[in-house]
Formats: sequence, C-alpha cells, structure tokens
Amino acid sequence: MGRYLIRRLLELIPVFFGATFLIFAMVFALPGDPIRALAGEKPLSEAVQREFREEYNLDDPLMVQYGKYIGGLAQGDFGKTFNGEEVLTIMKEKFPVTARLAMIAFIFEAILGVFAGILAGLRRGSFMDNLVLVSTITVVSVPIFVLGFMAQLLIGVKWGLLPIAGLRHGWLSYAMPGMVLGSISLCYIARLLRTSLGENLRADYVKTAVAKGLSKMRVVGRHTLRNSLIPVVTFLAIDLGTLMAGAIVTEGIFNIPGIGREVFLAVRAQNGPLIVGIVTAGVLIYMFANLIVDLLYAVLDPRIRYE
Amino acid sequence: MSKRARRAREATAPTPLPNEDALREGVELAGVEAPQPESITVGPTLGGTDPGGAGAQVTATAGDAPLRQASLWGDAWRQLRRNPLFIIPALLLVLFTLMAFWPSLFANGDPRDCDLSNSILPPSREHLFGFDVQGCDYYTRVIYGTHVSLTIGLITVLFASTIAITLGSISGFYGGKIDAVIARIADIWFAIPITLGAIIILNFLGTRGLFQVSLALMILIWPTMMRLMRSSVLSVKEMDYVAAARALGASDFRILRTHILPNGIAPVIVYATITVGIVIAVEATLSFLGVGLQLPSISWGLMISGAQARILASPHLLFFPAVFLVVLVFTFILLGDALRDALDPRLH
Repeated sequence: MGRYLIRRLLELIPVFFGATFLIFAMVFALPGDPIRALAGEKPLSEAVQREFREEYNLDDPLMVQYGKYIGGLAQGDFGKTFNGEEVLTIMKEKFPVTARLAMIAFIFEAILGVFAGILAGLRRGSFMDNLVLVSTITVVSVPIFVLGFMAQLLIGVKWGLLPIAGLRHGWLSYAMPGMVLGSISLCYIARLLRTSLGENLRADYVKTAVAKGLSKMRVVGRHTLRNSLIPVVTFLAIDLGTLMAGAIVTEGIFNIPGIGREVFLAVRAQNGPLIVGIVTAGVLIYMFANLIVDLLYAVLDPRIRYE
Repeated sequence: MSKRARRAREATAPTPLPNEDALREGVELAGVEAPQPESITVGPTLGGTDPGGAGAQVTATAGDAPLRQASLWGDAWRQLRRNPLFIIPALLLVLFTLMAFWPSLFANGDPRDCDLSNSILPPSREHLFGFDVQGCDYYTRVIYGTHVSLTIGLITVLFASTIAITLGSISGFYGGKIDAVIARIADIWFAIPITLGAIIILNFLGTRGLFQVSLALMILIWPTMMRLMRSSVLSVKEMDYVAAARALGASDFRILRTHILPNGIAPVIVYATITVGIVIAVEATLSFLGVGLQLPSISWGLMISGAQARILASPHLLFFPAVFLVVLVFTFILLGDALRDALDPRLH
C-alpha cells in the first residue's frame, strides 16, 4: 500500500508540471503586451513599464518565467495579479463561497441521487425505473446554462420560492445554484447506482443471503447496497474535487463571486498571474481528489490488493 | 494479479476531469467505463464484465469470418432496428442533418434579412418563433443555427476519436515505453478542466471561428477516448484468435486492423456518440459565455446569450434555441444509450 501510494504520487509529478506549464505557456505566450493592455488608452512611461516587466519577469524566456513561478509556488507564493493584489489573498476570499456552493450541490446530488438510484435499481423495468431513466437522460441533455435559466424563471420568478441570484439571503441564496450545479451529477449517481445494484443483485452472495432466509431489508441494506455504493462513493469523491475547483457557468449565471467567476473574469481581463494561480490550485485539487479515490477503492473494497 | 488488477482499474475507472461539464460524466453515462467492482478487482478471471472483452468473446465463439449473421455488429444492428429508442433519435438525427446542410428546405427566408421595426415581436401565426432584437425572423435563425452545432459536434468527435483510436491501439497493443509516454501525455491534458481549458485555448488562439472551437474541444476530449480504446485493446489482445492470427504469421498491423479494432472499438463508438451531444452542449456554453463563436455567426449559444437580458419580457428568445439545443443533445445521448445496449452482449 505504501509503495503503491508513492508510485501514484510519482506519477502525478509529470501531470502537475505538464498541466501547469501548458496553461502557463498559453496564458503568457499570448501575442500582445499585457503591460500595454493594462495601461489602456494612456500609455505608461518607459520607466514604469520597465518596472512592471521586471516585477513580473516578462523579459525572461518562457521556461525561466515558469521556473521562477514554480520556485515561488514551492514557498507558497502564488504571485501577484497585474493589479498588484496577492493571488493567494483573492483565492482565500473567493474559496469559501465556492466551497459553500459545492457543499449544497454535493448534499443535494448525493441524497437524491442515491435515493433515485435505489428506487430504479431494486426493481428493473418497473415504472419507477423507467421514470428515473427517462428523467435522468433528459436532465443530462440540458446544458447547465439553460437549466440555470429555467430554474431562475420557474422557481425564482414564477413561484417566488428561492432567491434568484446574488448572495444577499445567506445560505438560502446557495439553494438554487447548488441544485442546478448538482443536477447533472445527480443523474450520473442515480444511473451508476442503478447499474451497480442490478449487477450485485445477481451476485452469488446475494443469492446465498436470500437462501439463508434473510429479510429483504437485510439482504438489500446490509449486503447489496453496501457493495453497490462503492462506485458511487468514488464518483462522489471525484465530484467533490470538481465542485471545489469552481463552476464557471453556474457562478456566472447566479452571480456568485466564487473561484469560477473569478477565473472567467481573469481570462477576459487577460490577468495572466490570476488565471495561472487559480488553474494551478484547481490542478492540485484535482490530483488530490484522484489520490483520495485510489485510496478509497482500497479501503472500501478489500478484494483490491495493491503491490 | 496485482499489477494486472491495477491496470484494469486504471483502464476501467479513469480519473475524471475537475470541471462542471458533463464531458467526463459522459463516461458514466456511456456505462462503458464506469467503475465496476468486478472488473476492477478480479481483472483477468472475471474479464467478461469488461464490455470490450465480452464483445470480443462473443465474436470469438461465433468464429471470425463465416458466421456473419452472428457477429457483434450484426447482432447489434438486428436489435437496433427493432428498438424505438434507437429509431426515434435516428430519425431526429436525419432531420437535424437536413436542417444543418440544407436549411432552405425548412425556412424560406434569409436569416440575415432583418427589419428593426420587427424587433422582439412575439410569436405569431406567420412568424412562429417571433423576432429577435435585430428584427430577424427567429424561426429562420434557429433553423440556420443547426449548422454550427452539428458541424462542430461531428468534426470534433470525428478527429478526436481518430487520434484516440490510433494512439489507444498503439498504446494498448505495444505497451512498454510507448504506452507510458502516451499515457502521461493524456494524463496532462486530462488534468485540465474542459470549460476552463477551452476558454484559455480559445483566448490563446485569438480568432474564434468554427475551426478554432473544434480544435480547442478536440485537444481536450481525446484523452478519455484514448484510455477507453487502450483498455479495450488490452482485453481483446489476450483473446485466443489474436494468438492464432499471430501464430499464422499475421503482421502487427493486420492483427490490429482485422482482429483487434472490430472487436475492441465498440465502447469507443458508444462513448463517441454521447460525446457528440456533450461537445454540442459545451460549444453552446462557450458561445454563451462569449468566448466561443462570435457574431455574426448564427449559433444557438449566441442566441441564448442574447436572450439572457430579456428573459422576462421575451421568453421566446430563450425558449426556441434552447429547445433545439436540448433536443439535439438528447438525440445523441439516446443514440449512444441504444448503441450501448445493443453492443453489450451481456444484455442479449
């Protein structure tokens, strides 16, 4: 197990450097001069420009710039935006918002998804099964921005149940965006659990349990469901990582000042250091989530043996 | 066993992307790559749970050539012909294809022939979908919008799957160093979230036409398909008929082309079909965000984006392009679903 963990960590190293360098290169090798763009209509004096280029290492070759960036990162320095703010400070400010949104989405999708999955999976071909299948496939086909508008129009405006956008209503303001954000994963969880339940219900150990005369509750609850939840739990772990990295579209539509909206605004404003900082944090979260999933597999399913 | 199991686990349960798009989740939807405990844990002994492996076994037992009617694809076709869940989306696809490449069949007008005095008029009998802000007939514009969505979806997935099938076959067939290099490259692209990655690539490319949007999405979606192909090849290449072909002196290329590809490609095709739908949704999302296609292109994403500010006063501006978009995505997801059921011999 320990050796396996170390190997997985080693495998993640090229992924980290590769992905961050790609982003770094695409952001900083952009044609055009970021400093001139920053100045806008009124050109900056030569001296100020030189100072800026010095501060952001813009005159170095790309590899050197990247090296300096990684060097700073190793000391916990995510760099400064072109406006002179610490990237880390911005992320610290935006992250709690994204985390709250992620929590709501996560709870919503986990509870409803597992519920729908059990309903569908226990009786294949029943009315509930078909209902879950059709509704999940329909929701998956609706792009998230369309889903967001529909929710705003129906739940927010027509029925007036929940706040439409912004953060003025405390936790309640996260309800609608959280549900929209979690809706697609909800469908996958339901379908994943349905498939996995269907397979496990045919397994020998379930037949044995039934043959022993155990009650249906016990067969399903203690034997089948526990094993069937393994893929769902690992999916949820990955999804939590995804949610934490920020949701560009959802945060945009619902006007939620989180990481996702920040990075989108940064791309539009061509604020290179901010983009690279947020994406790097995202890649780190992604790698961490993957590692957790690998470990979860081993813990949840003792049949898996790692060298 | 342990190394084998780990490989199988890596192959069957790839680590999804950290973003909110459905792309990675299409894998779960496709059901071809969803983490399945059996295939993860027992790998070789229960290899039959791997769709690729199972498909291959069926063809293998049916014999390679003479019994045509019992091949994986023959069976699948016979089942599909009778399945309304395949026929309906197939007909829809024909309709959308006609709409995309021959829009004048559906709408007489010119989508760019607009009269400002008609600005945001609601739907009426002559103009079923009403007018947009510029006073253009909305029905005509929605019909002409099909072209961009369908072209980007098909081109992107066609090229991405060609790359993925080639690299995945090489990777799975030869293993070793080539495999490691290809896998690491795929991992790197895989770690970049789709929407964010596409935004950054498009920002880098500068111009944002049909070609650039396709390119950006292509770069970001091939790794998943590559892994799928690789895992499929890994299971098929252990089959007896591959060993037999090798014993008969067939070249690597011949074994790949005539034995491994036809039997191992099914999961990739299912996934690719669903991915067309997802790519269409992502394209609309990018255009909606203002980083995809730009005006004066006619795209549903742009129309929905324009409708955003008038969502209350003129809901028809949001409604019609959104319905077309959803139905087109739905078509591909249903097609993929039906294909998966037909190509999975376990369900026969």
